[in-house]
Amino acid sequence: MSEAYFGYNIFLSVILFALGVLGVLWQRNALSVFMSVELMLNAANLALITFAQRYGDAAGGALVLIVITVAAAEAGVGLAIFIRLYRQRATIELDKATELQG
Amino acid sequence: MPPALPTIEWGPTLPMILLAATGVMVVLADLVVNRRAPLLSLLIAILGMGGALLAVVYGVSEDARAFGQFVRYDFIGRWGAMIALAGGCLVALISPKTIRDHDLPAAEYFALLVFGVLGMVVLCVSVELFTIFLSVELIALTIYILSGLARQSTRSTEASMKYFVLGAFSGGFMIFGFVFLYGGAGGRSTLGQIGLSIMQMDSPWEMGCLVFGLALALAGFAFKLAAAPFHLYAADVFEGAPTPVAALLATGSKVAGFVALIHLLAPLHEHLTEAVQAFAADAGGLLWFLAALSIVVGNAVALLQRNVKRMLAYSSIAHSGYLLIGAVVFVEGSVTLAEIETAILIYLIAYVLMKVVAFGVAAGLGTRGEGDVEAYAGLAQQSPWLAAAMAVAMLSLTGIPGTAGFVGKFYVFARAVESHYVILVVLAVLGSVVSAYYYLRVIVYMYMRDPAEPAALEPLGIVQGLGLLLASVPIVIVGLFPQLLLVLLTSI
Repeated sequence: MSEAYFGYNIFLSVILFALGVLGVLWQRNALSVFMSVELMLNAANLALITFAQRYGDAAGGALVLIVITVAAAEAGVGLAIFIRLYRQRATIELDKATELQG
Repeated sequence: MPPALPTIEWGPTLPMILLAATGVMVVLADLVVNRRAPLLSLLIAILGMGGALLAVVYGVSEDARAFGQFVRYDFIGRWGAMIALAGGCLVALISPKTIRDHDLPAAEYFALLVFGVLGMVVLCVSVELFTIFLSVELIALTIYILSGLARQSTRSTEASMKYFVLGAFSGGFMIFGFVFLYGGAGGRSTLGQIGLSIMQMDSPWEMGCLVFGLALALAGFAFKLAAAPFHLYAADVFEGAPTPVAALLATGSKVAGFVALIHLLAPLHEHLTEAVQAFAADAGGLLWFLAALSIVVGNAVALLQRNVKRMLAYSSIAHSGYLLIGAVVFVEGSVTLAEIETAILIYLIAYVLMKVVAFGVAAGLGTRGEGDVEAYAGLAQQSPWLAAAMAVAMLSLTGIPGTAGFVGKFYVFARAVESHYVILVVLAVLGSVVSAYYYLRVIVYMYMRDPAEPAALEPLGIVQGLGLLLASVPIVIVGLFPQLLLVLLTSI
């Protein structure tokens, strides 16, 4: 990969990450928040694979799989929690969950 | 010629194998016996965690390595693993009452507890970025589920959801930071190699990557340690989650997170080149800020809390601040590695004991323990032993001489004074004085008010009592004879 593309990729990953952070902070729907978190993780994946290719580190490519696995596990647990939340309150708006003071 | 197969170091991996097998065994045993038998699950979990503890004590020498360069049992890591395992056993012991009260599925509860402790052990000894990330996520995933395990309780679900959303968010920060550390170090991910590349840093681009990466990773860790300003989830999660789960979150999770933070900062301890010195100054400044803010915010907000579990949550934020003073001193580097690591370990041991006792008493009181401080009124008349255990925990959390909490604070603060962090120590001591108000309030209610609920308490149960006894007696012993702990730390 040429130097130029390397810079673009890192830049893109930072943008994606920032979008993910903004999404988490602005969205109120639990699923949108979760999608924003996934965007953050995938930004990390993009940066990881870019660095791995630039430095010729084959292990880096394998590490991406670890991050993807973690993201999948998080989706499994997170969606289960959201379903329970929906059954109890008939909404998954985060700011409606205010039983605990704070 | 085929490449040589990697060898497996059985000694250092045995504790992890034991824990993973125990987690599976708990679930399988429940299937075979085919009835909800909390005591059976508890027994298997305790045996597994105790076995793993013995395997670390007797089977793993200091500096043992496994999985190539990814796992290393250095002094603080090996002890961190032991503290996490012992803490896991204690948390398991204080669980039965809560399992009965909230009708939690016992096998799932203990299996997840064991898997969480597995994550903590791996986190304590991993010295590679992606191993650290994996174990952090293992801990987080188990605690997301554990805190939502009380199915009927809407509060439990809310706690679980809040922890999940913020935990996943901070996990994103951590991994993005790790990737930039990996990139800044030229595609190398073990902490030792990252330390080398900080030392030989030549281009501003690498410097930028490393600083950016470290800052994001620190933010992720600050969240896991519930250090201000990343503490906002803590009170809600502690209040809503089943009480022993809050204990696990406050103890094992924090111990492992802190040990991993020390590992991450380890390359900055010795200032071999100017680049390292500049880097250490940046990181130290950031940590200084986190420590000071945690002490101020934790203690100030704890003053306002009526609910005991919320008060304990803010107290654990303040204690994160005291611990972070240890990290500041560690990065500053004028105190030797052994001295500062010993101080931090003493603090961690004391901290785990007193938090387990405080949450253990709250769990032992059932729904009453989840209420406001008024619900503890007159406890001394109804159950002198529970009140005594709680009093010991509160005094120790305040840092009264003669308790383990004092010993821990003394060592950490003394090292900080040696390194000339006087302002930070003054702040911490003032914070401790303020904290006396909200800790002693619990004691005042227990001993000097008439019982709020005249009904007699349910008997505690042998297991729960044993857990409280095993955690509270060492608080006093360590407090009176701190040299015993020093001997222990050097001999095992």
